[in-house]
Amino acid sequence: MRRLILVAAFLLLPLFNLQSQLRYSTGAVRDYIPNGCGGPDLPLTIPEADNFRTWYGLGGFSLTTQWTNTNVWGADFRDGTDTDPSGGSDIVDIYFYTGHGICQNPPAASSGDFITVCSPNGRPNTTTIGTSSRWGNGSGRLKFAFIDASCPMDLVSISNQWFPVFRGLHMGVGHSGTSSSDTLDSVTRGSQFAAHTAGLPFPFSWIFPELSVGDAWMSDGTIDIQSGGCCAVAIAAGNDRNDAINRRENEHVKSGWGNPTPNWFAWKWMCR
Amino acid sequence: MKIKIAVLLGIALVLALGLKLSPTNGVSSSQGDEGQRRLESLAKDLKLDVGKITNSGTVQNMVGIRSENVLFSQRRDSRTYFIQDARYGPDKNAGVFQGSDEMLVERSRSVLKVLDIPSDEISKANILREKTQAGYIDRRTRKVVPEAPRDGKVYAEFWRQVSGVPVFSSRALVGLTKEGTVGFMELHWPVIPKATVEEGRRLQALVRGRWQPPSQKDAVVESVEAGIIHSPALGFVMDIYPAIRVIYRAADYKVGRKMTLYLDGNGRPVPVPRQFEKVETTPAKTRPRK
Repeated sequence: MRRLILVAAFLLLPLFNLQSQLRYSTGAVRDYIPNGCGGPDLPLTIPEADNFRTWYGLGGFSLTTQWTNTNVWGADFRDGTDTDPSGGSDIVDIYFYTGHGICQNPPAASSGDFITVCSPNGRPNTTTIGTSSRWGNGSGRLKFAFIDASCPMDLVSISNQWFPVFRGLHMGVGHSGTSSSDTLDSVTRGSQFAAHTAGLPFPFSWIFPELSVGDAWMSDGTIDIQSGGCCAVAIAAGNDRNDAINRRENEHVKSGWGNPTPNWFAWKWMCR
Repeated sequence: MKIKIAVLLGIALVLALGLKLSPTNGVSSSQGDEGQRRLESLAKDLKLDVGKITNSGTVQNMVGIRSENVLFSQRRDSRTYFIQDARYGPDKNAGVFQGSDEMLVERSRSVLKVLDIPSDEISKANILREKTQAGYIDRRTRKVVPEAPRDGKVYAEFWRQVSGVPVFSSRALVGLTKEGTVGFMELHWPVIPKATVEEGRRLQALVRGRWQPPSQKDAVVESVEAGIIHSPALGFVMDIYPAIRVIYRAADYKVGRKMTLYLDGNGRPVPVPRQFEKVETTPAKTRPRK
């Protein structure tokens, strides 16, 4: 009988998934030098995003865009242009970016956090998150911003750079670091984070370890990063203190919680 | 309503057909049962407070047992274990281990021993400390009002070598409860074939000799080290390769995320260890300009 129920579950999986169709996109930039930007190139970003999508496909998420290289635009991450239907980061519930960022050595409270792409379109290629990114406002719908670059979430400047971006956004993840203690190019980090957060359906859910967004990033965000101060960082906004902390600790991508009013922020980090 | 009807019809259809497909995906029921019994036995050895098991089974390459609070699962094609206790955490019932770092490492080592991890393969133990903080912006002064940082979870992390060859992709991450039992663990420590270790040693000799990493535009070589890479913990296949890892830093010191290449002795890239039999890659097309 148990087998029969399992088989039924396998066959009916797509129907259950219809109820939880969150939309997501990936943006992966490998080629910087061939496209006229300062390098080096990052050959592992595209396979990282490929694996991310495979896990999220298993999780039943709906893929919206999967741009790479020059098809990822700086404008995708800036308010006012981030709802471009051809690939803006604010047209989906979840966006996974993998590519370069910019580090300081060391960062200060007034330092910026950056996403750096390489494209002739949607310029400038570098976006200062704190001053230009606003997620979840207007027609935007981004709930989870997963930024696998280097130093896009420096702890010392987190209030300046990340508090303002929450306009409906639930959580963001990234790294804090310096030029000498940085993230390495990695297939594993983002894809295992996807495996932990995809919320795989029954019967995988029996056995596969699923984690909250914050816990998953503490575990997977510390993969392939250098010692000496590089940290995995996760931040959540909340209606009040308890809500922010609850989201930081317990919100899963599939929790289905409403958008927070960003009155409070709760963040956590783990350094190597 | 339509979905509910479809679900009921589907279940009725399956029951009516009496299909005999195995949910174990090629693994016989007896093998699956054996795996579950082994996990139950290991749970006792590890003194896990599993309670009443509510689910157990084999799916693809995984076998596991689950209760209201605890998941304990294992890959069947790799020495890879996962433990999650929902009660683990600083503000939860099981709490977080409060002993010294040395005690945390020692107790975590004993966990690895129960799971047959050779102690001579542990090359390094780190302590990873989670820190938490909260704050808000005072609407009147427009200034940030942060609370003091607090301690979160604490993990012992173990790195690996086999016969002096580092295994870059293996890792054990262990978090203990205040009682010293496992609250969280991801142990990924696949058996490495002897030939791979030998090739790793040959690559080490090359690196010690005249082997030169390929130069890269806008980048400076930061480190070169021979070792072994393999597929990550969560996945459906296990690839293992010897490789020379070359880490480059950007010539422009500000550009972050360091280029990292995994190369063979001839300086060619080794394949990326897979997580799936097949991954759909990004279709090559150009995004329309506005």
